[in-house]
Amino acid sequence: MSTADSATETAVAPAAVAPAAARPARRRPPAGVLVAAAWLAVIALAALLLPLLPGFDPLHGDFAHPSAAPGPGHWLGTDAAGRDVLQRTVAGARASFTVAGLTILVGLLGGGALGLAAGWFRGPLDKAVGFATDLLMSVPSLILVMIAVSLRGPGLTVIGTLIGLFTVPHFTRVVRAVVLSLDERGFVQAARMIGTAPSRLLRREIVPHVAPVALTFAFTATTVAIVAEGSLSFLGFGLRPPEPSWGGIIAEGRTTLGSAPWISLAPAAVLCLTVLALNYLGEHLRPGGPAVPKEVRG
Amino acid sequence: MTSAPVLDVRSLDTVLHTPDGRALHVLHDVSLTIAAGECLGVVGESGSGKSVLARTVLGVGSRTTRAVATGEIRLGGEDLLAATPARRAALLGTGIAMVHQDPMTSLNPVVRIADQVTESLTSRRRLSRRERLRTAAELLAAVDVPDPARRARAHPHELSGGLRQRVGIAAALAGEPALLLADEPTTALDVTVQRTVLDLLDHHRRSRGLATLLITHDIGLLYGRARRIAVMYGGRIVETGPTEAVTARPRHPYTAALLRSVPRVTGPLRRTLPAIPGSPPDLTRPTPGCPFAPRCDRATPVCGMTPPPTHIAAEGHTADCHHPLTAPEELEPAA
Amino acid sequence: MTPTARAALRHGGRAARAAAVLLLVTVGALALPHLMPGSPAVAALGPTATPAQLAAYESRLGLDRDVFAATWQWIADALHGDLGHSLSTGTAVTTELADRIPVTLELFLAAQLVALCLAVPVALLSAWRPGGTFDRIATAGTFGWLAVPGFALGLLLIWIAAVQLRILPATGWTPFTEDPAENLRHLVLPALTLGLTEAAVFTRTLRGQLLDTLDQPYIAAARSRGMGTTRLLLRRALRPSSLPLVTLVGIGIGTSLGGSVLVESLFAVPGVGSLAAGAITGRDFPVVQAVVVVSAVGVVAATFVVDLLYRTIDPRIAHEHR
Repeated sequence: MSTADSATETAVAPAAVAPAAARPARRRPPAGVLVAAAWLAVIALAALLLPLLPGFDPLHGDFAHPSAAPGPGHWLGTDAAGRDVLQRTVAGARASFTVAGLTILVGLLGGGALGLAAGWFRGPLDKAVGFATDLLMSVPSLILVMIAVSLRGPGLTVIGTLIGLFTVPHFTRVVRAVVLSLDERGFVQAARMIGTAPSRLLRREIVPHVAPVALTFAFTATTVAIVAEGSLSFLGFGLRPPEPSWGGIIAEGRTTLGSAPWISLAPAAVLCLTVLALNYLGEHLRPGGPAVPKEVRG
Repeated sequence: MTSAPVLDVRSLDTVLHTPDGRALHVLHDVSLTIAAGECLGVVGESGSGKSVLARTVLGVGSRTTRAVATGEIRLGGEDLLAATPARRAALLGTGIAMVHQDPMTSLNPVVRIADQVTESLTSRRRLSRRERLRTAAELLAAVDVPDPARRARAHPHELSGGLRQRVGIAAALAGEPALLLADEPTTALDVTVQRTVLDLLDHHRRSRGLATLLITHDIGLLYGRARRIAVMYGGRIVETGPTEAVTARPRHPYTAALLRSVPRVTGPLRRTLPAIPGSPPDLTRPTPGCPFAPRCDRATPVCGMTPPPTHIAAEGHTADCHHPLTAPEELEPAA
Repeated sequence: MTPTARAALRHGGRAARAAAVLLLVTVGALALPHLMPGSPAVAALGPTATPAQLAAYESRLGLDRDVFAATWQWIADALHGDLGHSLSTGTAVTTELADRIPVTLELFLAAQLVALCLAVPVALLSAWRPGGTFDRIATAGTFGWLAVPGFALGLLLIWIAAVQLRILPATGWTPFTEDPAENLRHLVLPALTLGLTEAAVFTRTLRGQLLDTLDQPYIAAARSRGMGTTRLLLRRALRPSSLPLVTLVGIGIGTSLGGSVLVESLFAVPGVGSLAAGAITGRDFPVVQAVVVVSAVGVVAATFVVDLLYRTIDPRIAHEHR
């Protein structure tokens, strides 16, 4: 009998003679999960609550103190126009999370529906969905979002929807694979044979198995959205300046990298830590524990 | 026994330390000898410790599970447990070789047969591609692989299961070892192929004077092949002796139970083969008494508390049991 | 059906599918100007343009025909080596691409080299003793590294190498044919940015696959024949573990034409990505359309190449499909 120790990612069976050891009961969340969750909570609360404070104005320039180093008054310093980097970073979080929310919505609904349909009905529909995912994946996604922004004007809705659209193929594949594997294991066939209604089958068999995948997807999609929005704003295809977003602030600071590196590096650090926290949670909250990502052949 | 044994294992204990910090006492006081040209059959259920025995003798364990062995393993008189890692590595394939269980998974799918068959040689010195192909063809011919030159160039998936196990045997023989460990070499094969593979092993054992340790869960395979049998249970050898004596007059209740679970061609037809109730012992919780006691129909309170004494049935036939089977009628229980 | 016929049919089917994908991408690319609110011609030429000028503009973009006719015309021209002319510079798009594709490919090959040189040894050492000190550090390190987006890493590298140490140029490009040494100096930072980002993904992918492979009985069998650790890892474990990595590298090169926008813009590298970024800002539709279609061709071609590589790496795949 082998025991797979999921926490260390090693999952190596000891000798064939080892008897089945009682699998340890669901362990307490590791400290890392709590730290990651706390970080995300701080960012989210700051993005929600700080703008309500009097004196919060990420667009207000303190012309007396341009490019001021971090210190009291301006904890993360000010940018070249004297705007508070901390306030702008907090405001930028709103942009990032708005885009992420839209991405998850589009990705979950679109990918979930397509994946379920393809896995359930198989045949021509499956082929059509496969073709559509091929199509979407052969298009240079970043360029396409840039084109859309350039034609329709900058805005969180356009960006979030399109980034979501480009996550659809990945999500479709995963959901389809889950449905097919359930079918292979006889769940679906058995249920069909004993006359279970499709809606019940969906509720009792499919959804519980797809949900963990959806959870993992939500974390991944959030990081994808944050990074993509950052990249777009960085390239000047995000929000209209001076409206703050993480990529935008980082891009604005690159010209003064020599004299005032905090303008870029502070929001960049916040962005990296947020993505790290999301990755960490996604990895550790997934049922079955963390695993090394294995690229599935497409 | 006329000559000095090739393999002489004395009081071998092995403890496995798993990555999650558990210690498994997998071999207890195991002693056995095998002479040149002799075959010792080791029988037991999965979990009895028979595979660990082979791996401990070979000296190749899991990468993550540390195995600590104490006692003596002498190969041609040399104590392997006292040998340096370099010396042990040097013996792999050339002093001791192993025929692996499943020929479907024990051959690398992306490496040509020739390169795998000659591994025992290429691990020591470089061979040119031409030399590898030629040597491999010779080795394959020796194990009756038809069209050996072509097979040497092939990849494993192009061969049938039986042929692949012949390749496995050729690879084991390549280093001209003194001791061959065969761990369930035919379990994964079709019944019709099993016999020819075992006959092949027998042939090379006789012609090369190979000491052979043949591990199996199927005691029936050993008739006419193994001169002696060691029955393992819970990491111990619970009964050992000449094959005919052990199979005809088993003394240990576990051996008797194993024999009852073998289908017989002759004799009265039973509707069902009796299974041994219960499951192998939990090695994380060693018992002070007999490991088989919880499953034994002859067990008394003493069995769970004190280690069983060694019962000597005849010259070279012993069983570790508090209540060995002695009367003939006990050997064949009521149907 | 004979095996050859079956293979031909399968290849034919895949080719037809690929062609259909490319056709639709082309239709989509040519439909782009239609997505613009208002008239692209008016937006480009201004309200003072004469109707004749507007008509000429629309004809150049194929806006005077329906999009399928325009697509047909575009493909016919493309097959004759004509991808139109840039609206802003008037240069032939083929000339622009011929200048820029080599730059992007050089950058990407250098990046893959960086990524592989880091990922392969780290993954091998990690997987040999999973849970060991090296593995823990490497696994935690690559996990953290995954969180660093390319633009942040690029900025950090610029800050370190160009601002603090002043050893490398932050931006710009010198063609290899002009001055190989300068070319290399300009190549380092963008290639590192791309390569280091990918190295984390490569390492984790390869490590996971190696863990699977090293648990295979055939690895234990090779060890039982005295094969040493180094040879075992390099000659026996690496190859069967490399399929996912080959996919990543192959598809990576395929998507590089469309995926290099960020790094090229950051480091002012005159490749396909910066061409696209400039063309999008300038509404230079012929260039944008060509970039979209060409990068889709790259992805489709890479998929085919990866498939061929699979067959050489793992003979079983070729066998199954024979």
